[in-house]
Amino acid sequence: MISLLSNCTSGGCGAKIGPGELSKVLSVLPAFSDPKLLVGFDASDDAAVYQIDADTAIVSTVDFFSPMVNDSRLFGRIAAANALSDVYAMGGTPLFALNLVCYPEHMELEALGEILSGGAEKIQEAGAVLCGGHSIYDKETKYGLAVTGRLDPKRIWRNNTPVPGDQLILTKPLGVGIVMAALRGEMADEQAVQAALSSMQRLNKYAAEKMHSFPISACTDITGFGLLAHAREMAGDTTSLLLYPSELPYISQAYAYAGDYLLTAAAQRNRNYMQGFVEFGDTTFALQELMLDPQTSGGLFLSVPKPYAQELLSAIQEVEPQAAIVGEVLLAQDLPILLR
Amino acid sequence: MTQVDALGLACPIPVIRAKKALEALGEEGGVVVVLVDSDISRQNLQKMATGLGYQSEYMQKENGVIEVTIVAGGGCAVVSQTTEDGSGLVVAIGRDTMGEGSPELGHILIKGFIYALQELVPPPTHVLFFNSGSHLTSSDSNSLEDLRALEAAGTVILTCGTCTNYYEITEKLGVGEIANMYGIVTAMAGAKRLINI
Repeated sequence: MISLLSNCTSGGCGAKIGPGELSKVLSVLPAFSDPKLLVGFDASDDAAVYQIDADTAIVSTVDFFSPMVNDSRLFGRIAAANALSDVYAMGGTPLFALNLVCYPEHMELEALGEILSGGAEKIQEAGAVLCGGHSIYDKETKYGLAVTGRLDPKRIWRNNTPVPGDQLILTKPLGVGIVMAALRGEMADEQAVQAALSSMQRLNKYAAEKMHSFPISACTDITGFGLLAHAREMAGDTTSLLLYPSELPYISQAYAYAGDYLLTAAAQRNRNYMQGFVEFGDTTFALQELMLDPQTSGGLFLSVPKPYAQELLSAIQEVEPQAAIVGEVLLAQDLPILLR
Repeated sequence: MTQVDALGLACPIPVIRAKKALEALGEEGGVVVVLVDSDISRQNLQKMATGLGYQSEYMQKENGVIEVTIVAGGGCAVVSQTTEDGSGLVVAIGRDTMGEGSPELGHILIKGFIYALQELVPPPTHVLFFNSGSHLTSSDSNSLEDLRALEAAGTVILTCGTCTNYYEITEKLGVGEIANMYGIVTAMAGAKRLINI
């Protein structure tokens, strides 16, 4: 069997360029302005939104990475679920997708077929159509999608518009990065690996569908930057997010793995990035690591007015049983993120 | 002493190998030296060492190699002069120049000041960097060598993380540790004498 991982330096969302480094690069680009561009990259949101007419906007996003698992079809499914996620996180519905492929010249094409089939399965499940793509030779395998969806311009779920008094819901368990690190260290148990793989393949479609019946204030999906970086982004300048570390859902073995220092480089980069924005106080080391853990195809993290929170949570739990209320929104305090 | 060569290996492998080597030392403890080539791996190793109650220090070698020394139990410890009966001197540097006037001269003066600091016996217990001072601990600072000498002499070098984030130089930290305001305040509050630059 060929090894997808053998020539990869790092896989999944853990391979993302750090948030600090990235913003430095982006700052040299000109600011484009077009009144129809409702959400652009200056907003650091999950996807771009462009208005077509009063009732229709298109949402556009692209995502690809190198393998974090050895199974080709599984990698295809995870990469596609991850790429589609940004459309769901904006409140949109995927319409069509294009494949993005980098593949080593010396590797058998059969495995590439498996990757693309895995991706196609997820595109079908999303109710979208695959309509083309682009493939090049490269030293390292990479796969992902460019996805276009539609959305009502009056109902965009931005990532930085929570309202003080709202409650925060996280739909998927944390710890995917830690479990995959434990797997690389050959210290993960089968059940934990299965939980992580199942979570990464699961479309955020189902949780998002439940959310459409509720007035969502803000929403994003958790990526390689980890929960805390996304929480900080959501807090913006006008609010602070109070998180309840003891309520966070996580893959149960990940807590012990974090305590055993099965840690990723990305989590440490995330920790450095969060300096000065959060005080961990007496939060256990393992919970700190879970909050910094890079997620591949992570869950939705959303802010909803408190009167709706419990009902929305119950609805989401029908499709994401580990979903939980993990915090609340306050007026801006000394720090953007508080833990209690 | 056990040496662990983790060059070219991505996390969590360096930490796993170091931890196994430490466990193999058994009750009597000992020293594990780990070679890594990424500063993030170095940070993860030291995070593990601190969490397990071991002392650790590191040295930047040639060709990007970082040597992390972890000392476990058995009464041996990394020799550190940062003790209660040390100098008690804390130096807080909140700018990358010294004095008012020409910035060019100010840069020369601050470099000279840091050079002179490492001649002090006993050395300062802490040197703290914040605001534009945080450029001085960055990898392109021309005071790096002097600061590393200070660190080797036992001085704790802390740079404000909010500041390195603001100037976007967190990834470029060349010496010492990132600290939050709590760490900075604790160091200042524990000072017998405090010099503010």
